[in-house]
Amino acid sequence: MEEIRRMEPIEGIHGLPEQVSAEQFAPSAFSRNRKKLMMWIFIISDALLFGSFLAVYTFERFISPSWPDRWKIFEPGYLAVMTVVLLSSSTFMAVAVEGLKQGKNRRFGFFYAVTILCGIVFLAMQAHEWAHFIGLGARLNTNPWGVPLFSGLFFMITGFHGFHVLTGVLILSFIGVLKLMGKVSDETIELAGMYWSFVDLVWVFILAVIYLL
Amino acid sequence: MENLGSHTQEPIVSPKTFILVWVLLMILTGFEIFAAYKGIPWKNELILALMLAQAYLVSFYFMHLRFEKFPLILSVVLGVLLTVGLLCALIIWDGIHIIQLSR
Repeated sequence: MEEIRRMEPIEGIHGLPEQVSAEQFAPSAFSRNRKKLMMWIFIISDALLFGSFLAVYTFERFISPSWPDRWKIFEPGYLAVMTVVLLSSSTFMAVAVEGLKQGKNRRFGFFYAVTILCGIVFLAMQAHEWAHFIGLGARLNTNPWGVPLFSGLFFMITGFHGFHVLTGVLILSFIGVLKLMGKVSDETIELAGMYWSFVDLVWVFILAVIYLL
Repeated sequence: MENLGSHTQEPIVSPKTFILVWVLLMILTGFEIFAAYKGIPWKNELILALMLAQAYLVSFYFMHLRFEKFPLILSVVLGVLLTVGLLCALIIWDGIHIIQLSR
């Protein structure tokens, strides 16, 4: 407890007390920023969740005698547009955060709004893709191509990812409104940007493992 | 004073970098989907390599992993890759067993 209490002034707005020597707070790799470290821990745990999902998918595919041909179900062009939308939104978010750091508020506002818009477009496209796939007769426990696990895993993994995108859109909108009211720090927006890029990162893996391999 | 606890030491990234990374990501995506659709030789290895390249660009440039200190980079990258790799390696023995049983 003593340690923690002594650490506090360094985080607050009071500045570094003079009686504390610099050696006492020699920078460790993990002491840079507490909130950011927490965000990294969350991202690692979430990455392990999706990693397990994709491992299970690969396992089921490995032991199944046959696996559906994805190009009979999905359109390459549609898939490309979905990927471009999500990758671009991640880029826009990075540009927005960079603008915020440099104090360019107009640039930040524009790219932030475009980021949220791209997220909504991606969700709409995914909903349309699901509707198309369900229309072909796929359910959680059956699919017309004979391997029931494919559609079950597809719905579960892309559903989890879609839920992450939905959460991201809600978080970004909420924080955006708070930012307009001047109630959030730049750091919060940067952390939200990290989450948004992570959602994009997960899509890179889902695209390769589920759609393309 | 407000910035003392925050991380203002990160260098400024120019928009050119982001445009370059975006263009690279688009090229990689296009090539990836083309390879999968046309079914060229070494398709799976190529897709996995392109996937890792994309993941590198997103995590290091958009999530600012390249500005973090080395131990944190190691924890994130190696931690996730090793754990998932270990999971796949362990699970594959089960898979081989199931395939042998079903024959």
